[in-house]
Amino acid sequence: MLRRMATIATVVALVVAGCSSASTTPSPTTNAASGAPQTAAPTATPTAAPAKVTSINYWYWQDDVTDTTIQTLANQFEQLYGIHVNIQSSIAQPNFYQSLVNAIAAGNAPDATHLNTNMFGQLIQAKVLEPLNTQIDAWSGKADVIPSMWSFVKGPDGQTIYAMPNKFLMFYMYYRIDLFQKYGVTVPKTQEEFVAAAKALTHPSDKVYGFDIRGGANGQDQWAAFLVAGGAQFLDSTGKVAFSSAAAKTSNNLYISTYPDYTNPGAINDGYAQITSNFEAGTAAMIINHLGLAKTLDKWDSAKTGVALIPSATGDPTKTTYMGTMNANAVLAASTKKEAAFKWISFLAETQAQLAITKSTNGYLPVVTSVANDPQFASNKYMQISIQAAANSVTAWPPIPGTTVATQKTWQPLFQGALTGKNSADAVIDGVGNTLSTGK
Amino acid sequence: MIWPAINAVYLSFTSTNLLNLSEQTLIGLDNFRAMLADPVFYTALVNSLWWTFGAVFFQLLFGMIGALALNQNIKFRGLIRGLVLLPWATPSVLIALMWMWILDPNLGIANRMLGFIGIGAQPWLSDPGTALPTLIFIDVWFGIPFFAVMILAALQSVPHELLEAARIDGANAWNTFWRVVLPLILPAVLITTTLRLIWTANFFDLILILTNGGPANASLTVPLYAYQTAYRGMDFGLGAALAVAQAAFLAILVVLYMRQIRKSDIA
Amino acid sequence: MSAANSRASVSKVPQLSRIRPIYFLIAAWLVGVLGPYVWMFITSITPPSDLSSIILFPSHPTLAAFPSLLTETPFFEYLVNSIEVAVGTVVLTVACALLAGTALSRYRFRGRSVVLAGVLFMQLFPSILLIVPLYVELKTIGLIDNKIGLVLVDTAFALAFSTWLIKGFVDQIPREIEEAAYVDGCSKWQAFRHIILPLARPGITAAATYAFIYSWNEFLFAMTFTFSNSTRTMPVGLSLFVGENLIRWEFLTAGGVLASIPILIGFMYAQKGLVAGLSSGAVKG
Repeated sequence: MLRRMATIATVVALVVAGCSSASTTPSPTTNAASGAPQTAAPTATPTAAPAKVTSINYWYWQDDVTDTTIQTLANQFEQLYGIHVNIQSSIAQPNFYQSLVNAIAAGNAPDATHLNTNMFGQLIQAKVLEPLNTQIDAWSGKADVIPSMWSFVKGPDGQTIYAMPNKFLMFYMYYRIDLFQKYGVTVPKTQEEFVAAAKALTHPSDKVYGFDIRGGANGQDQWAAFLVAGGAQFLDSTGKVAFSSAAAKTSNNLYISTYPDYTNPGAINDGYAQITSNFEAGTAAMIINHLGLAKTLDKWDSAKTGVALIPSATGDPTKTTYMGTMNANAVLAASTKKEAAFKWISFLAETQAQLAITKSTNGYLPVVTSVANDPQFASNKYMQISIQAAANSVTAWPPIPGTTVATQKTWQPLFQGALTGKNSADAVIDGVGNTLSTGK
Repeated sequence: MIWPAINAVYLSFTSTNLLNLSEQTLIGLDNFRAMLADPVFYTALVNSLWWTFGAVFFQLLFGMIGALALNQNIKFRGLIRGLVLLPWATPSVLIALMWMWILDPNLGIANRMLGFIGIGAQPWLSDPGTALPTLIFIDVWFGIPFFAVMILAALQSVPHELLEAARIDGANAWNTFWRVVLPLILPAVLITTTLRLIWTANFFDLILILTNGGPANASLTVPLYAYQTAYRGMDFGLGAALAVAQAAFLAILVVLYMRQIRKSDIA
Repeated sequence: MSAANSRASVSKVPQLSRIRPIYFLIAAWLVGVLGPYVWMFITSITPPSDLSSIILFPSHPTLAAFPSLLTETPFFEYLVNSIEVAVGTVVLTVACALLAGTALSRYRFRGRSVVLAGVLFMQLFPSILLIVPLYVELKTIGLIDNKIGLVLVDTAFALAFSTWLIKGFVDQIPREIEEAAYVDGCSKWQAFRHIILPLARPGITAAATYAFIYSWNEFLFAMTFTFSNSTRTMPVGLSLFVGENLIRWEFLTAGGVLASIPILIGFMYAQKGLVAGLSSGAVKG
């Protein structure tokens, strides 16, 4: 008797506590149900009418936890349209994509979500995102969106729009004016001049190195921005992957030639935190980044910071393509409240919201003309260099499945392998090109 | 509860895209064939072996020494026991960022300290040769308190009469430990070590944040590769196959352990 | 012999001959453990603009990170959630592990070794690969974005080791003591309550510590299965200070310092349970 009870006690303890073994297979049918019931906000806000307030779930990552811009906008939106936006912003950017994938797989996806360039491809391919062309055509704000912005949110067919442009960033070069003066170096315009400048700026005895190459996580963006300025292209005019080219290889070789002699110690692993702190500390004379860094530098000592276009193959900006990156908002195909969700993401692309986002903690480039021409940005050198770069030919990682794999998996080991001599420099180009075309 | 694990095994025989589960198909052993044909898998496997056994060996060694020290009647014992526990109770994201900052080749305190005492700057995580050992070092630092607490608890079941008897027989500290204490705490040490090996093999948060497997795969372990394959490459089937392959290795540990306790089980 | 006496005698053995080396060892250990935290604390009182130029101690230390952490971010709420989830996990894990561990130790029943091996099976996979089926399970029972759901998942994963650990401690308790108790007229429950429970106390303390810390540090489940500020836990809170273009070092480190306080106090109290068994002298004579 006791023995049997012991068995039961054991099994019950292990099974019950081990959470119910309700074994529902993750099936496509569960995808259809939106996760709203679980994550809906408890009875909206006090000001809203108690009955029939539509509530949508929106996922967003915040750069700075203390930034309240997006919540303020959601409150304004609710007052205007009576739609409550339940913002889920407590996922850090590095974990965002993985969390979104899990939520989609478990049938708990939000109605709308923030996305960036690197995430589009696989989502579009899996038909997780709702095509927005019809709604955008009917949207009053369409004409205000800078035309080139649409190319970053279109699927591989070049027609279907899957997301609403929201924040735009252009890559450019930051350099230390004081170090350039100290060592008598002029700002490089071509990529050969860039390598020469990196050499001339390197003075290990002063703990100064020419260029902090970003070899670690997500350094592919800086690298690709350099290569694109050097003449590389992701896709050809027909939309086929055409990354592997002589220009890409030449530029890649120049970029890699700075390592290890003219780059910071440990640069092979450097991420965003390292390149920015090395730049602020004056141990790195040049780095490549976008506007995201500007506010941090403004708090510090903006007078020491110079900005310039990324050195290019020819040195002539009008003959150069510059790389940007797009953060956009999409509606999930599984959402049952697509209209409300679209209303919200289109609201975020209208003048008032764009102005607020552009002025938020880190600052972004607006995607609409009415804000881009706002006079208050005329005195901001970071904003000006971004606009100057964007005035030329502009590209970004294409919204194809291979982009996610190439940027998140393929690039880093091959690039680091090229830096350490484990594989050739050209192997990086071929590997990334191959991943872009095959998605593997 | 066992379902998620069974599901992982099932997935390893399928082609699965988490974003599009309706297109899941059974593909037999294709994932395992792809895995065995992938040279990176072998790199990761060797790294995993070093990572797992290297980290756990030193954790056990220092944890044992630490437990013996904490078992003494020392001053401020409660406070000291609490303080040395701290690394274990710190989330790995913070541990990783803390050490990233300390070991930073340009601005970190570690190289500055080494400079003071006349040793040159070390590359730490940025050299393929030193990245994995550095990560193991951090994981040892992180894991010592776990062993210390578990062994400290086990030490309480050593009857004082036996220690007394050993002392009267003139056994020195080393002999007493080896002949009297160790056999008695061995069951606890064995289960702790077995599970710690399994957990360490599967633990990749530190590596993900600090090196993401780099430089050039020098610190890539099997579960990190499985994660990258599943969530970056969006090939969940192959990712599961990698995890299943490692689980098979680890299952050997469990079998060895079960056999060992069955032998010593006086039932 | 009384328990108090024997405790004194065990500590005397090494104390007389080797008091010095022990303190050197402890001191070295403390420096090794606390050094990184001290550095973290220094970082937290350094204004962000000086971060890259500090030598050893900041020239303008500031404690501003602490109040702004508490007022401008939901970190404190997360910390409270963490404590709740961790306490829930400890209670559930220890209760289940105690029952299961005792049963597995004391009784031979069919399927015993299957259960013993089975609880280890789950541990063989990296949890990231188990997360989608778990997600679906939690969703089915309606415990997504719910602290109870998190407690259940954490318990499920903490239970294997805790059960094995407690089983090991119960194994070590001589059956003769229990049998003597039965002769004295104790019931099964009384024997459990008055003999096994106190004698296995170090094991229970160790298991509780493990379950607490497991839940305290657990990041992946908390990040995936919770969404709102009323359910998010501290490790998720810390991860939010690392943005795409911004790392709030002062928040990270201040948060780390704050998060270690409950652990420190908790364990200073809990470690008293690591003292051997029958302090009440229940089996005297």
